[in-house]
Amino acid sequence: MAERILVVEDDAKLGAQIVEQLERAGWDVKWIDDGDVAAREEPAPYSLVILDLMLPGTYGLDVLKRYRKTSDVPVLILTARDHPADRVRGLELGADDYVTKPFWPEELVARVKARLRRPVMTRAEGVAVGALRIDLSARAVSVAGEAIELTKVEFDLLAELVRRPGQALTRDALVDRVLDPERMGTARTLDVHMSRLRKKLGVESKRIATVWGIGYRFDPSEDA
Amino acid sequence: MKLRARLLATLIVLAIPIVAGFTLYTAWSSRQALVQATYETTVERMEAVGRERCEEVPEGFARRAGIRPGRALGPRALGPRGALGPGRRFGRMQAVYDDTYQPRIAGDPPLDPALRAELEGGAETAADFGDQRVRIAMRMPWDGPCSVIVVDRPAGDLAGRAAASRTAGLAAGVVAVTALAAFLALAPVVRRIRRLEAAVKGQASGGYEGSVPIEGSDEVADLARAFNEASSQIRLRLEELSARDKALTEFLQSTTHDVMVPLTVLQGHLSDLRRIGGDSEPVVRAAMEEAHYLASLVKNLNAAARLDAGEPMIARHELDLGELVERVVSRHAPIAKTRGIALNHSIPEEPVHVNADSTLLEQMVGNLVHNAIRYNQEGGHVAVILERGFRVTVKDDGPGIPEEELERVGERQFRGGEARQRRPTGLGLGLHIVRDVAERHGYALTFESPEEGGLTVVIRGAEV
Repeated sequence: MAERILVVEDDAKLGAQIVEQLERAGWDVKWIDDGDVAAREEPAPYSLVILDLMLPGTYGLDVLKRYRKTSDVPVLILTARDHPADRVRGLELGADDYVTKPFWPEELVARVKARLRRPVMTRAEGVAVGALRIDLSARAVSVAGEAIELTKVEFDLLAELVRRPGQALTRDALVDRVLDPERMGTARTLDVHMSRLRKKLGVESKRIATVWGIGYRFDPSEDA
Repeated sequence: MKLRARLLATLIVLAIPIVAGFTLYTAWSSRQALVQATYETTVERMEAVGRERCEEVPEGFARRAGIRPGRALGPRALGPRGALGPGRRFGRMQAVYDDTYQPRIAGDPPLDPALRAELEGGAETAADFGDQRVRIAMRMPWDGPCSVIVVDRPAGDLAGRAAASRTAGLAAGVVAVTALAAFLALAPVVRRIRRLEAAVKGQASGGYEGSVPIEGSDEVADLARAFNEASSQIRLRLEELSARDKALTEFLQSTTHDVMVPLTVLQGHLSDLRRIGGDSEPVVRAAMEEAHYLASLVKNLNAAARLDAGEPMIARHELDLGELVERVVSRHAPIAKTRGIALNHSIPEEPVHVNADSTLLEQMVGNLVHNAIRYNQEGGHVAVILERGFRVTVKDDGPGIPEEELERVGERQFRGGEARQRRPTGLGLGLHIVRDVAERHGYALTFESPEEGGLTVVIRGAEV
């Protein structure tokens, strides 16, 4: 079932647009354009609330205060008056994030997704994505059921990237965490290990992307 | 020069010539008095008996008068005893000359040429003041063989010597007392001026609020009054300016709000257009870039207004730089995608807390990312890296900035490099804000053009 999102925005055109964008992204959206009405709304059924601050009737932050009395629903604040005092106040009152106007629809959708994101795998134990299986505690890796022999450095390298799926890690950080400090490893050494690791992963090697100017990233998406 | 020192110097400069002049005058007038007294006494005595004797029997007169070097002028020579008066001092008669300055008694020395010249010039008396004696030559009010008489008097007869030094001492004393009086009179004035100075300084540092106290009714009080008038004028101007400033800031903020909402709607429409027409439509891409640029321009103007207003407008609070970097990247990701530029970022696993103005800092990093995207070409890369410590690096593989221009990046009017002048507006303000925000937060900012090309900007600062 699609997750429900409550949008509180007084501008008719912008409100309609936001609703359309969120619906297209696959969410079930309810739109309220008045502060007083929003203050009376029960936040319980929603997975996330998008709240504009400048509202007719009850002010946005007061709506937030009211919701926080009964609910921990993630609240994403929309603001045009981009003043740090508003941000601080919003965060103090329990807002989870804020998006300042103007924004691109993709930006808003990305932020909503980030707030709704659920942990997709049990990090401590391992990863199972595509044909790749990684058992972190047993330090075992297999692709399409076939076990892969990795050196200590290769496994540690893969584990570091897998531990933070979708996030680019810098070569420097990987050198620090993976390479033996006794042996004065450099980014060049790391690249050599990576090249061997990729070769061993075969079809699943595409999950490890080289990121320009940064380092590497593990892509956890099913269809990668 | 301090007031007291100036007063002392003035007194000294004035007192020295006065004391000296007074001393000289006293000495001169006592000499005059001695010469005059000698003349009068001599004439009186010569008229009584001396002249007759001298003219008739000069030798006898001389003998009786005791005219011999070193002998005192005998009382008999000049008249009856008693005419001198008891205890009245007189000198020694040295010689007598006739109208042509020839000695009356042969063998007497000729008249001193200097004295003679003076008498010949028509003077009644001529005197030579030596250390031991005063020699006085006098022309008697008659002609004849005994018409010029020379008398020596001991220098001690100059009553004025002691008097002169007494006068000098007195004058010095008067000056000293005057100086002391002036000092005493000046002390409270100096104290009041000091107090006024302290009050004025206090007022100036307190934004010209209130007024300085007015004591008494003299020039110092006038000065205090004048200052109060001037500071009330300043206060008025300051109030006007701050009211205007406030109105302008409010106008800017409400305008920003009014602009941002339709701009968001416009971005939504453009996004729809791209979805319908596809990324390949160059007009849609251009329009998206303009809309994005417009939004960033308005935000930069707002940031500039806050930075110009100074410290009170800058609000520091604790924030997570990792979240900030993610927000900046998610804001610019759509426009990077439209331009075919890979925008990636990396943040540490743990939050990086800093104490900063979140809006300004976000605008700062945003400007760097936006510039890196705008001046890059299709297929280019931009990377934003946050490291503990903290260090934020924004790097691209665009055209970069020539070495010699790196120094000037961030000056308000500066736009670097030919390649970066394709879009001549905005870069100056954006980078100026980057530099200004870094300065306000005490962050180190470096621009580098690495050998492999592109531009690398690094912001270094302290974690909380």
